[in-house]
Amino acid sequence: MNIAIRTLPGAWMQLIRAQFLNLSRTPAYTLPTLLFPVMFYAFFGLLMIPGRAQFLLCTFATFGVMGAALFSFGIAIAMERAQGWMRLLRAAPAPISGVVTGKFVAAMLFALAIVALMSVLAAGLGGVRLATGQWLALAGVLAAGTLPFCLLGMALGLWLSPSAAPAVINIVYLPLAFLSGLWVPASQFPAWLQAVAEWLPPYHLAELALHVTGTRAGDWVWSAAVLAAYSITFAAAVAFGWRRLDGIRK
Amino acid sequence: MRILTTVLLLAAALVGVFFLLPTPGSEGSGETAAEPARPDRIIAIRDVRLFDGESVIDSATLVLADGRVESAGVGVEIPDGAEIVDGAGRTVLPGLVDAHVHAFGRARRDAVRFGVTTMLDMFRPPDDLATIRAERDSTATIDRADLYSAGFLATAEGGHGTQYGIEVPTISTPAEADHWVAARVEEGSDWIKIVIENGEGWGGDLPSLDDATIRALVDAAHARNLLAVAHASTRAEALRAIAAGVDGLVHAFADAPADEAFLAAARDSGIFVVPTATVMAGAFGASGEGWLAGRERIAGRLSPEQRRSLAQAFPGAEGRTDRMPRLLDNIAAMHGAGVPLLAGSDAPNPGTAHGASLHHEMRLMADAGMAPVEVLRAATSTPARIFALDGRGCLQPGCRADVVLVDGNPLDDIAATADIVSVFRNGRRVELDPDVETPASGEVPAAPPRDLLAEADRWMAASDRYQGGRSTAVLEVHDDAIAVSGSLAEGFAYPYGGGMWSPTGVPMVPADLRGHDALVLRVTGSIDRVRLMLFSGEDAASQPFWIDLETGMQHRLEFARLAGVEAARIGAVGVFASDAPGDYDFRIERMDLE
Repeated sequence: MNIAIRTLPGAWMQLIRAQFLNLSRTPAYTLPTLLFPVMFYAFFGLLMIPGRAQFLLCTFATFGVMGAALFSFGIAIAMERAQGWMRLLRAAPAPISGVVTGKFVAAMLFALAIVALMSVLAAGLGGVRLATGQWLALAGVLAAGTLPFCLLGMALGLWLSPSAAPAVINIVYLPLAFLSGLWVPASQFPAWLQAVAEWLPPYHLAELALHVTGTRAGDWVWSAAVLAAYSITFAAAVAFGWRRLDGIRK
Repeated sequence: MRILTTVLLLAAALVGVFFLLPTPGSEGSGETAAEPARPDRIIAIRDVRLFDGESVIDSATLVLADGRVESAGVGVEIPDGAEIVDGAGRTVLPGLVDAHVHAFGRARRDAVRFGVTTMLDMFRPPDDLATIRAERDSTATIDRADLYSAGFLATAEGGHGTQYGIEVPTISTPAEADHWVAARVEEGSDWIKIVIENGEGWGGDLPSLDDATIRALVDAAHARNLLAVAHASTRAEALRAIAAGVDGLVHAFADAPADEAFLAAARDSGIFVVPTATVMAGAFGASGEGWLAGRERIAGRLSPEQRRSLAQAFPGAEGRTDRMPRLLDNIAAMHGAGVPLLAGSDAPNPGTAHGASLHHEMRLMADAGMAPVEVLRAATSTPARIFALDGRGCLQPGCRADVVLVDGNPLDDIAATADIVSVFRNGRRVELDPDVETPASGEVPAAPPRDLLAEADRWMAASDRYQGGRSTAVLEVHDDAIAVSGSLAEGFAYPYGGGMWSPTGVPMVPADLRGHDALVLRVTGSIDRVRLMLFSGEDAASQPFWIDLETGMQHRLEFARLAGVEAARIGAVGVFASDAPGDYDFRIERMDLE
């Protein structure tokens, strides 16, 4: 790779650029990550449970963007760390923020693509109609809402070995999605499980998506606050994980 | 930097997608079959008896243009280029209003073919209320009835309304009422519906809202200038609703006579009542289909969904037949006391069908002693006035061009409302035949008999867990039978568990089974009967056809005789235990298609 590090902003851009080059060269990762949640929505949101296309668009899109964030951060960072790339970057005068920003922008782009694909399906096959402002709000909320999941993914990536990362992230991702009522609405749960759902970050991101699309009015201030609190917690975990990097283990 | 430019362009393109996605007002896509009304489209119905929502004008002319009534009356000039419709011997009515429905799936298309052009929905998820509002503000061509809706209903946790597998935001204390109502307003509810139902009238026991919560809900609705209506099915609950200050009741009661005390309370409070005699008739063992006898013209326009819901019956209905006369007496008493009554069917409950059942309702109101003109008002101007349905239920200039043309004179015989010649919606003629596409038409060759027990990979265990219940089912495939065991648990409206066969191997993905005439079934086991469910049609996962069959004997069910089963599109066939809670096990020893 020909990375000419001239100035700090230049290096920053180069690192972001490298992220996208990496993604564009690994379609075997990129395409499944995009299509898996969309396929899930087509099967379950449109075919199996007809008539609830709009509600399920909000929850399945939450499911999709959360996955893109967790995987692009978690697994990639665990692998890059094991390859020594992280330590190399730390040792070099390269701005590590470029790597993280690049990944965050990529996760938002994934989120945008997933929401766009699902929205086209929902409008075309599910008959969903929203005002343009609502469509944009859905995309905006879900793209911004990747932040806590990016941080969670990064924290896991910093703590886990590359062989453990995919397994652990799946076991975090899928139960978190289910328990937050992204596949089956939380109100169908027994009361004690509902109480659990209300403390999980995906539940609140879905609440925001439902709120801005006018599907179901929610307490958006509370949901945004919960997501912010989680973001801070995960950011702290990232900070601790970062300190561990110094030579303790690969 | 080429790659960064690409990324930016990609992001811009993705954002652009959201600008192109359809909005509630947008037209043209398949499902929203709407196009702007052509201004040159003028229809004149001549020499017709005209009921304008209040009274009758003989030998009148009605002119419809631009989706509105342009003129109506005697001696009206017919504009050049108008399409002339002969009204001699016929009566023209405002599009009918069904004041109590639950509009799912094809409901709005099914209703409009029977002259119901406006529906007042008393509970449905509010997912698409923005679209629905945009449609009813428009006079564009559309093949569906317009809808006004309560959205979610207010009920206690586990109360009536929570049993349908639809997520309902429940309420338990007066303090939550204001927030609850505000959330409905934000979702687009047109009024607030409150459930007062402890199940007593139906031999059950349900959690229900307390008086303070009901009153707080009514006050919160009134503070926002919304009507508050109540579901109450007994005299005691109706009186509680009135005491809490509701504006109307959306069912009549028949557990007790509407005595002087009740009538005085109803009159003094100024409430209205939607008796929904049709759904009550179904719950009291009176058939939902009998009134269609001799009316082949409209019976032939029923869609499979409509036929299916008409043919269904409420469990235990036979034991309540004594309440039917009292229901009619109570309707007569309320009408006599001056309580405004609105025609409403409560479709698609068992024994009812969208659109068609409003004609049944009008007949039952006439049977109770209301004059035909009063019944017609109950289905037009009265709901329009009470629910402020602007331009509906009337045929004066400026009213919407939602019109029903019928043969004969419903002012003499209310049954004539069902003899529909044409329905106009926003000034355009509606197609009256159900537009059910069949996957293949013409003769279907007979298929060889098929032993379904041999298709092990197309069977699966199924239970009410799928809809949020707690029953279990385990299925084992043996050489000579399929064995199912499990337990039925409370927690769902009608617990079930058993086995399900799907013709394509994927549940609810339908296959054409018209090559077969019948299903043969033999089940043995620890229970006296099993419930056979046949899922079929355009929306195969919607209400299935079901029948209870005795175990220990062989049954042969001919598809042609099963009301509403579309053999052309069978999504799944289920054999379920559905009796009392507890353990069950049974063996399906034979299941063949012949």
